[in-house]
Amino acid sequence: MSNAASTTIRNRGVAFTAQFGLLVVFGFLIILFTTQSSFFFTADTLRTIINIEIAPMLIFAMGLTVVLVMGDFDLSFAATGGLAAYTIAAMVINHNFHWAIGVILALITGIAVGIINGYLVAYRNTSSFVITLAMSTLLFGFEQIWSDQKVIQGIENQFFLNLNSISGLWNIRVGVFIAFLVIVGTWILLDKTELGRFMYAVGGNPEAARLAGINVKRLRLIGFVVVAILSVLVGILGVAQSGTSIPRQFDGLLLPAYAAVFLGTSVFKPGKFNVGGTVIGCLFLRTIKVGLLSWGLDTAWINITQGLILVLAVLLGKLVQSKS
Amino acid sequence: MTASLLQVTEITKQYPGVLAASKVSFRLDGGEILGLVGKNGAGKSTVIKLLAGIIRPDSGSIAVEGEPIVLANPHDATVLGLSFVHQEFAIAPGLSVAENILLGLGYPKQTLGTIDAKLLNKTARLMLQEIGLSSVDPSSQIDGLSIAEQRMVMIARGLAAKARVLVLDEPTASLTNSEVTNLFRVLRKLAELGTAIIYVSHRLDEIFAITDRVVVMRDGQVKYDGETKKLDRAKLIEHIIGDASGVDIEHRRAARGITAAKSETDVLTVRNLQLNGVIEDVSLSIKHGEILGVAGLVGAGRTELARLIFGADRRDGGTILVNGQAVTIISPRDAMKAGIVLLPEDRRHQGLVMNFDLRENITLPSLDKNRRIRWLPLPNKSNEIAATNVAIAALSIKASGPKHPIAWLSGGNQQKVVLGKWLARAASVFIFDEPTHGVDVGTKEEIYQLMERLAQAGNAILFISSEFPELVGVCNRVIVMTEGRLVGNLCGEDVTESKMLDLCFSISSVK
Repeated sequence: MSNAASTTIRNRGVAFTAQFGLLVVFGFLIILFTTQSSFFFTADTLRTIINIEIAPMLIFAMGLTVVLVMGDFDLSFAATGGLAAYTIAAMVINHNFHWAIGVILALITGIAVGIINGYLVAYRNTSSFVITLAMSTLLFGFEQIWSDQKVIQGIENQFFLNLNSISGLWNIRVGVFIAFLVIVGTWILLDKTELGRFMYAVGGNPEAARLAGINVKRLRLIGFVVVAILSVLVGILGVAQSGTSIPRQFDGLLLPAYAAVFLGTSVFKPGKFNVGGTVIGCLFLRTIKVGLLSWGLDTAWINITQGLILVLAVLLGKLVQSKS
Repeated sequence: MTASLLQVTEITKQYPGVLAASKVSFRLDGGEILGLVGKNGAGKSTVIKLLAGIIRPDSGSIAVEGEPIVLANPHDATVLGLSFVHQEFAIAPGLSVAENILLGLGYPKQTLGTIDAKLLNKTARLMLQEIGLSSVDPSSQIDGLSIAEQRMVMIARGLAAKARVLVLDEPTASLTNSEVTNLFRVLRKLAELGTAIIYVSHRLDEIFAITDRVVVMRDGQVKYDGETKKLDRAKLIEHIIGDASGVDIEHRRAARGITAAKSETDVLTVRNLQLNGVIEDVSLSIKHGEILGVAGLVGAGRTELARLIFGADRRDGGTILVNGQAVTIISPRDAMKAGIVLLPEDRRHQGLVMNFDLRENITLPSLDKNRRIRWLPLPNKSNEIAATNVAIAALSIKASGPKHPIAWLSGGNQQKVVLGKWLARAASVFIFDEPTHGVDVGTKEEIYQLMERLAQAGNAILFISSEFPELVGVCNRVIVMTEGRLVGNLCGEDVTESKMLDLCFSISSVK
């Protein structure tokens, strides 16, 4: 009897670790950084964590979560976002169009990229990994030719720049609030709608999903279009932040976004991609980066730390899954 | 007294909410064929998994030739000479038959360490001859073999591993009569050579035909352990279900007074259905309240027929009418809209999402029925839970509740979940493809009664089965398929097992 009771307690412990282990580590880290560095837990540092990089990473990671839920990869989102940013900047500065024309053009291009990815992967039954890698290479090549690898700067339309300026609310960037809306939207999509349930079913067993009357191909295509549209949004925010487009602007976010989403599978719903987990993953990686920077460590060590954490988190997730 | 080859002593395995095995003890001697029977969820699979080292017991011990052993993983079991052919056995696709047979047992090597393909194929060929499968080329790809042949290859694997104990879980599923006869011949030969065999099956005829001794499990416990010849069918069923209420399937037709359907109007009409090379010009119709059986041997095209009607595969020709109206069906979605649903043959791969829980699986095709606001596609959890509880009660699914992980359910209970998925939808045509495959006697009867209830409510039922006695026991009418064609239509007193078999072999014998 006591044996059974201790088993139950152990199972509960395992379940708790599975769902909230990463959160505990996160809390511990914040305390560590705060005690070890006098200027970590200050309004300025918090703002740094939030204002720089986090919005594009969160928005990318949301799109990525949607496709990964269905078992597909998308490696082209950074390129799509970069091209969108370049398109807007080029339209305004080089061709003297209204910024809205640039945004519309970027959106059309982005949606086309999503449809082509989705069509080739879902309807032509090709590997999403290969197709989106190819798409990414293709888009970068196109951007290289078009931009001649030059930075475009000098957008001055105040309304456009206000899309991602520092807002009056706690001096937080507008983009962060937009990212928040994207998070809520993705959460509603995946966790609250029939579409979301179907998407998880497609990821779990596409054939059973199809035989349950779900249009699997269309759903997968929608996933790629969602990623593409969100990537364009990142592009828009990127240009609006500084009025500038840099070639391959979002390359550096491709792998961190993946890391965050996979890290997220170790929180809330163990072993499953989920919106809450992705958010924690993003914040966690960002906090570590800022925290280690505040200790004066250079980026090489930050990369090493983040890599190790990802491996450990995934291992922990697996371990917990096999125990329960 | 010498120690038994295998001795299981008081092993217990507890899952959250379920006591899967409770102080299970039995022994097994060399050369003995032991039948392990029981309802789904009785604990048979748990015992097999414990022996295979897939799961570990909470308490109790296992001894081989008197030596206590610890089975921490499947490799330990292989090393000790325990070999398994699981119900849903795993082949390594892409490898040859020979490579599969000797997988993990050490391929013969040449001097440089590369695989000696010649010797490998030669060894494998010997094994194949041993089990009467000499027609199969050991160098051919295993994916190209039929399921029955693949199962035999897995048995050859047991031979190659020089198994002392061979465990077969539902080995005759999807095997034809002659293949079953051949399997039995091989098993007897193995037993004569001293191999001990554990034979798990729901087909009681086979238990009587092949086993020396029977262990009956119920609710995780051993309820009977004795010689097979001291039992008769009725007694065995009584041990399995726990009371004498089980109706013997062969007498079911008479007992239930099943006759031709009363109604004259067709619910489902299929005309000239065609899938080139697979289904040739099949026409059929099912009336209100009628259960139409489809008999045939493996490969006769029955599953393909079901999938075409359901839109799971694209047909090359033919029309489908529901209640007299022609319907366009090019996807399962279209079929569902037209009121047709399919319970697929392969529940794990086609029926269930294994990382979903019970509720999510049950409500998957009927989420639109569980909305809070009818026009808003947002599933309502409390509606879903209510619907799931209805299904759990209606089908007496053995689970702790709507949150029970689907992977933890036994085979028969998983099948009930697949059934439950479709009950919530308003459908008028139900296609059941081998619904009782791997399901115990008690659950089988529950499934028959469910089909009868659906028929009485005015629906049309298409019932595909390889077990002809159950078609006799349940169907108003039976059609017989051979090589993608309809070769017979049996009504009333003509619905007998021998007439079905006759028709099954009619075309092949003419050729």
